[in-house]
Amino acid sequence: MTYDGREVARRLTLWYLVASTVILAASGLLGWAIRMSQADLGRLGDNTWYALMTAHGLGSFVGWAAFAVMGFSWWVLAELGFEPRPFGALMGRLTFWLMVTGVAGVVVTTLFLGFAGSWVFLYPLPFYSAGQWGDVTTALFSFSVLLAGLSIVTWCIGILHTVVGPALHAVSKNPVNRFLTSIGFGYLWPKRFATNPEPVPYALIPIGVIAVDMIIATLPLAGLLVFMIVQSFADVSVDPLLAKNILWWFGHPVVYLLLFPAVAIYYFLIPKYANRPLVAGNVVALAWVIAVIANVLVWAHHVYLDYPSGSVQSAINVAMQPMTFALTIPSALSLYSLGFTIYRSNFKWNAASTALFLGLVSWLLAGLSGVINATIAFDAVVHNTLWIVGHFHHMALLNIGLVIFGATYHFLPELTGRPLWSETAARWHIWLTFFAGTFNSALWIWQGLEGAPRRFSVLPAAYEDLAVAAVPTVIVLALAQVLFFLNVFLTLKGPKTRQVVATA
Amino acid sequence: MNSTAVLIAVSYGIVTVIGVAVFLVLWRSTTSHKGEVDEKQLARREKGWLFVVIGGLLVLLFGTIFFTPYGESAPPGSQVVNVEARQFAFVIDPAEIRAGEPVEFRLTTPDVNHGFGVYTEGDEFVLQAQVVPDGVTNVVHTFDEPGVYKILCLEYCGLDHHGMVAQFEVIP
Repeated sequence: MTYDGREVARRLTLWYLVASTVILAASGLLGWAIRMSQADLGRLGDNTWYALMTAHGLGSFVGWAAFAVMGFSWWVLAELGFEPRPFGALMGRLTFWLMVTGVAGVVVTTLFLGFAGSWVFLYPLPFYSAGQWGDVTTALFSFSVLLAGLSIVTWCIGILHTVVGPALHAVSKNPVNRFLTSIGFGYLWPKRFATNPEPVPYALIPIGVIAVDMIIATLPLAGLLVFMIVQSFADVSVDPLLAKNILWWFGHPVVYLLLFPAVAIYYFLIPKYANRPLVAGNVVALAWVIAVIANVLVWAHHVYLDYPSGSVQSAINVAMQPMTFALTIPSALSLYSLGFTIYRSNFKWNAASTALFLGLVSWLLAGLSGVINATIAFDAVVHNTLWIVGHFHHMALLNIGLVIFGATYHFLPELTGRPLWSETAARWHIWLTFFAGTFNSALWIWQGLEGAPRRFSVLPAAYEDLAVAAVPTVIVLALAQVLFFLNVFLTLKGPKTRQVVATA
Repeated sequence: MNSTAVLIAVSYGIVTVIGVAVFLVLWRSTTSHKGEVDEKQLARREKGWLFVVIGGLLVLLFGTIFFTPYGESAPPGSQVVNVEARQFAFVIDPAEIRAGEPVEFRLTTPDVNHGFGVYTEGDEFVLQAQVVPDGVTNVVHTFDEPGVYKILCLEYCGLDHHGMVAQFEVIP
């Protein structure tokens, strides 16, 4: 039987999509439960609440959003002609099993063994459980997160192997040159990173950028997790501030593990719906050069308010503000390009393209609230308040999430050979998610500005009213997702109307 | 609401309205104003947009970077309050502070990361800093208004994180 890279990409994408959708259903349910509990509807025990919060955070962020866009990346690459070769396919399969096993481990250690250290498990909290879980549980949790982290690394390796493959019309045979060509260097230095005859597709660039960045970002965290496993059985320790920096060295780029593949999907699909090429010049490539560097150098904006005397942390933090600002440039230029690709075009409106369009709206608005967080003087007010929760749900659910939903509605029929079960249900899902999700985030943002703290199983009385006011919104948001699950399930079960195209 | 929070709310509200308006124009352009655009010219103008973005970021950077909370020190002889944050309580010594004079909080913890968040009795946010194991964090502030102030832990620290509340009094 001959090897068919496109068929491999199709299967990988479907695996990732189905698994991540199941994880969304589970982690969404946990999110529902903790939000209802805060509103005093079905009050959970404190450790149960924090354990659910831990599982919800990891499940939604990594198990759903990251996993889903990692899957769509295989298909976008295949559509661009970059099909995984056997080694890339092996990495793709390994990624799947590592992620699924890792997420299952997180579920077991949080929901059944009571680990409640939050998804950032700030060292040394996992070893100070107040009697709620033991060190062996910490070791199991750390191992589970390690598996999920390794799945990101294997995905990156598989992606890098794919983007420098024969579909890249790079003149050079040098692998470093080919990689730099794949992330758009040829637009800036056409002689040194020459391609013949076709330039690098814009949609390829963000995927290559995040693949190299996530290897750099994840390996130190893997080291910390191994250390935590050792500490569970031996009398060793690590400097807490160093551990915090290592955590965020990974914790910020992982946001871009969600965003950059989502940008690739925008770059790929928006021109199709607008029926014109992406409006972009060489300056977009410059943005991605900035991104590949800055993405791994902005971690400390998560620790702006850590500045113990005698440490260099405050100096690092000050340097992070302009670095973080620089990282807004790829977003600003991408929004320009995508916006003018749509502008006055014969844009085809359906559920998928509506999701992408509304995702762009959320990208802008959530990006702007991110600029607030990136500014030290403002972060001093909103840090660890519900503002942050509003910001990242706005970005993760209403930008990345809408891209995932849009990509699902667009790609699922061609991945399965089955028509979408219901375009109408898809439209309802998208609009309800957008409005309910935006309102939900707006409430958090407002509560945060009033000083409401995040990660409180029971909010101070002053902030309870808006938590209660959010309940109808959360119900609508949850019901909207039921439409999505139904649509995916019934599409997968539906009659096949055509053969899946086996070759590009 | 804290005055900085008001500034954030107003600024973010304005840019949100502008952003939504831009997308409404964009949507409208695909339904009733379809037509050709000069794609190459728009691509070239992206450089101009880049400079606009960089300019805006530089204004924000230089307008705010001098307001970081780092490196502040109280004059010699100022009030010093030692705050030990531990699962799940704050030990404050002394618990009375004089209004109108700088006070230096020295924050420590013997266990995990905590947050030191100060609020007025009416729940208005005043200031915050992280409390890091193996370190001392100094925070300097002058309370102008006498009264009771509350402390909340603003870094998740375990089972009774939400119950980690304390207070101190600022006297005239």
